[in-house]
Amino acid sequence: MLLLTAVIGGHAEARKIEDVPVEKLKQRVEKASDTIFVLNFWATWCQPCVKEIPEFNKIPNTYKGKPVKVIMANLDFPNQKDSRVLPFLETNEVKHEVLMTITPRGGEWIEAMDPTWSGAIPATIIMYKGKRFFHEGETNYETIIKWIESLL
Amino acid sequence: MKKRIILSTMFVMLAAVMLNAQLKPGDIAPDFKLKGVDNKWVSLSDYKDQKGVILVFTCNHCPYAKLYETRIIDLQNKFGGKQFPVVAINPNDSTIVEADSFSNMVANAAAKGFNFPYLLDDIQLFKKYGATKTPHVFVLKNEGGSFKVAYIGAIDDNSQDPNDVGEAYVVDAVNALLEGKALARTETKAVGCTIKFK
Repeated sequence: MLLLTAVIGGHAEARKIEDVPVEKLKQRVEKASDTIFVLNFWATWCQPCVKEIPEFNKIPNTYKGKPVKVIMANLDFPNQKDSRVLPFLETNEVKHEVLMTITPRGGEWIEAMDPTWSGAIPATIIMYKGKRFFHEGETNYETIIKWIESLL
Repeated sequence: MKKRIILSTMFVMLAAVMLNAQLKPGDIAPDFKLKGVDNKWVSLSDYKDQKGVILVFTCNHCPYAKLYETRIIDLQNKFGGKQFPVVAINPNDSTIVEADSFSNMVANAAAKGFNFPYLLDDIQLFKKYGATKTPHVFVLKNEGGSFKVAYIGAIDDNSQDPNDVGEAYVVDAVNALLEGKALARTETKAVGCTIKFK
């Protein structure tokens, strides 16, 4: 019970959301390392994105002894961080690191992130040692695990 | 279990292929017949006497679609009289998103003062075009009665702020077509809402 209280207490702390230029984010997940990066593009206004957040929450921190890093890259507008994103995180559990994605004008960054991405969200990219998997649209825990396995 | 994995993998691959089957610039745009918010049926072939059509897959509920409503009205004001009118199509299944039902389309069109046909896609026409999101624009050029895709993508390069647009993609594309010039861009991308279908 005490432990439960401690966990809930931990989640109730005000979160900080870092602003990250999408180019920096791309470099981070493409960096050669032992980490399996799962990058999910989402927004508070996107119904299927919000629906699939619990699926991402199920992804454990460690996967078969390998580090898995899930990054929830938010695409609400930066001026909505205080009005929408932070309040959303108070009422919805998002277990993983949440970043505010700062995108340049136009859509070249979408093409650079993945040439097959139309720009619709949710979209998920999995990166592991130069191998990558991309999916546009909703997903679930079982499918994400299968995608990760396909890259191992 | 293994069979299920193979089957679901195949399904994912099939879904990926379906998503990628998008019309390309230069392709002939498929005709359609869809009902509009004024209860009139509209076909692409109804526009054979026009120079082209700005076809916009959009909807009521998507915040990005909402951000562009006024700009779509502006496109009709700008180009409707130049024989290059706007036709808007809502591709979403209202059993998934109630806000995009036909009656809500009627209400939204009236509330925002839509000056263009706003049609319900209940035949999954969006798949034939390869539209994946709202808003998703297809600028079609009339070439002797058949409509050829000239431009696919976003309306402009700044969803959030209409007063800070650097490149007005659709305006530039239609102006170029009206002047018989080559298009600076034939495809662009922007963030949008996935099309909701079963």
